[in-house]
Amino acid sequence: MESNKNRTFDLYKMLVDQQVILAYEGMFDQEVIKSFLGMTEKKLAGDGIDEATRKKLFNVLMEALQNISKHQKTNNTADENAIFILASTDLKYYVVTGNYMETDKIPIIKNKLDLVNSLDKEGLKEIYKKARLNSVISDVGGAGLGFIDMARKSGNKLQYQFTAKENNSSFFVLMATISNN
Amino acid sequence: MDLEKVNWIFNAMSNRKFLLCYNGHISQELVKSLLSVAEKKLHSEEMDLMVKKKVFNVMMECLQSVCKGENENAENSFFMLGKSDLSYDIYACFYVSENYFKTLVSFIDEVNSWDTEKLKSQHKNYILDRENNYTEKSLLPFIDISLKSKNKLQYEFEEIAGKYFFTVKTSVHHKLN
Amino acid sequence: MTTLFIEGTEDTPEINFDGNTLQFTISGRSLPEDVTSFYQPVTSWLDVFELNENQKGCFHFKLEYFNTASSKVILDILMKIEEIVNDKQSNLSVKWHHQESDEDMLEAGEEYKELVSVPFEIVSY
Repeated sequence: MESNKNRTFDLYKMLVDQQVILAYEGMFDQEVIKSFLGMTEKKLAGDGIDEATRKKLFNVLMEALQNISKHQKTNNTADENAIFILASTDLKYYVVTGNYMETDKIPIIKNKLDLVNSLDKEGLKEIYKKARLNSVISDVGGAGLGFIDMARKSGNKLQYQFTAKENNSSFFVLMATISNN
Repeated sequence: MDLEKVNWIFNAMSNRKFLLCYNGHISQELVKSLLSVAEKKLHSEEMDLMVKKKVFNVMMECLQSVCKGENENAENSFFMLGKSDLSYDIYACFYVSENYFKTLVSFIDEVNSWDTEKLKSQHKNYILDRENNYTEKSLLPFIDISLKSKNKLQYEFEEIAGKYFFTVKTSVHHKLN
Repeated sequence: MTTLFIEGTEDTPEINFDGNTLQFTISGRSLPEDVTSFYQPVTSWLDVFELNENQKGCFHFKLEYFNTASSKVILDILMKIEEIVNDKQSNLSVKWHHQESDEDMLEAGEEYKELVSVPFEIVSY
């Protein structure tokens, strides 16, 4: 579908088709994260989703948002802001984040994601325990636990994509899918 | 939802510098949250205090009144805050019936034809008017956002199965005159 | 004279009508959805105030933002004050405060000043 990204209505149509509830581009700090979590909580309460799905979604959302705030490049320019989308269809919720990161950090992140995606429920439980015990504080230490948690709570594979940009910068897109049982 | 669509959306958002979008029912709680996020965002950008206040005011009126269209409980309101080289742009989108569509178009055209003096005097008339009680849809918000933004209101519309998808766009220039 | 105090929130202003100091202040942000219900205690207080023998004091408006719904209620409050001033020749006045660089708040004050005949002073801070 070729549509003109510049027309408001095309963006609106796309957002409605994909049932995007909330989209935001900017800096992510504690306050902003708190606002989005609050907004989502209220919206979900109104949607009549079962308790279990709501909790899952809330947790995944929290991890995803905290992930962005941890991994935003330390000296972001306004052009390298992070993006976040929350969308839903009747059966699934999607939490999607996009942020710039240092290209040379990609292999570590990719490995963690591939590992997490390769494991089943039991496997995830095991590495989560291990990761908690080790609790290595490093640049990307936090990310490891976050991905595991997202995979466990969402119950689905994490989809991702890296796109190289200039200056040792890449755009990292991460999508978690939560099924509504 | 797949990654291809995600990328499309992300690009559209970056290109148009969309900072914030929301689609759905707009409750007071939601208004507070969106205003709070936007306020933070505006605060972090370098700008004139007046520009920041005007954007906040326009957002507030759009979310609380304009986005509701003709129906207080509109389910499908859509709101976007964007930024271009020259201005902050606030989009309020909603579905309306053909009747209300005609009223809206003629009213916005009229408001756009008024100069500042006329806007101010009409603003006074609308505030004094007591036939319109607070809960009835009022056209005062359009006068208000026009005055505050110091710009003509722009609008777009699409007809879809007898209803109209209406977008009101208000711009607040980075450099106020 | 009774005191009325309502704490301010994210979307409602602080109401501080002090019966002792005779300074009656509405400050902060006024963006409630249901303005009538929020301002009901204020209008009730004014009704009682009107019956008082000796009204004097100053009403202060020190707002950062207010929505169009609030703008109508603010006018109602000012018109009530005008009524009291005219009927009872009371020693009441209004002070409209605005941040120095806030031209919109200044203009709002000027508009209200033109709409009511009450001793009305616009001050910047």
